[in-house]
Amino acid sequence: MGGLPASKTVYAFAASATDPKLMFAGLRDGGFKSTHGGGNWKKLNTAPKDVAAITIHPTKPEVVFLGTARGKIFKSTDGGQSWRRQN
Amino acid sequence: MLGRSCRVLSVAALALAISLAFALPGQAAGMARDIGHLHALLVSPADGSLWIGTHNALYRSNDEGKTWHPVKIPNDLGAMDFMSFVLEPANPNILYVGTHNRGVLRTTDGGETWGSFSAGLGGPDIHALAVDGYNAAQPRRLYAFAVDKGLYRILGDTSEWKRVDDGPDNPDVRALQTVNIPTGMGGIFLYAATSGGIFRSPDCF
Repeated sequence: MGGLPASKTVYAFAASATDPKLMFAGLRDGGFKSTHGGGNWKKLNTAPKDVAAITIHPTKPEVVFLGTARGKIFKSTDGGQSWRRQN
Repeated sequence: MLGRSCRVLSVAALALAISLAFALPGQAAGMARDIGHLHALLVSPADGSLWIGTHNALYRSNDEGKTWHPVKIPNDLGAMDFMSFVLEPANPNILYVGTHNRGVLRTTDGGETWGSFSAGLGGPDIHALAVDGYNAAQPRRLYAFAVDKGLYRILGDTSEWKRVDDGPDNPDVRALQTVNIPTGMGGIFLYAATSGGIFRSPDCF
């Protein structure tokens, strides 16, 4: 699972139902994305920190929702490149 | 008289415009802005609604998280800390929710009514749920991770959990998901997010 910070808690995880090698992980450090089934994770530079939950839209894998531990919800429509706060 | 009425209306309209201009997303009438500590999110394939599990309540949003409505859970279930979600693959009106203190709850009507779905679980603290409904040739597999108790599974339409094993090497599991990547042994993988990173195990035992 290269690319994720070592020895840190992964609070959230989501894999796409339509593109199973597409995955997102949420840590206190922020959001991470893999397009290799859990290898070669890349940090999402514009994602918020303290990620507590992630879900991928069931039919639109480019649409991702992210929730922080403090209850803020964010949406991405470009596969995690940019995020818009929803609440 | 007409002029005074117009002034009153103008003041009211101005106040309304100011309140709308400064209103924050999620601040609609009757909806709390602060949903508190968040644990879980899920987009329903049935209608695109967003389910939100928090420390205190279960919410549902019909506008992608801008506003949300509490989902009523019967008092006798006494659930708190809604930790995880999973949908029945063949019927998105069936939703399972893992809780911190009352095992697994289930609704079969899209959230209108709820009941306990915990028979056979070794403990009440369910941090993670997952489902494998990818292979039509085999029974649907439903997974639950019970804190300090291990990994449990239900096959097909039965309703009693059976213990599988201790779960991943790091037992501090925060999320589970089956991933439709073939193992080469006739199954797919079960992924677990933990306090020590991400683990995966063949979902074919």
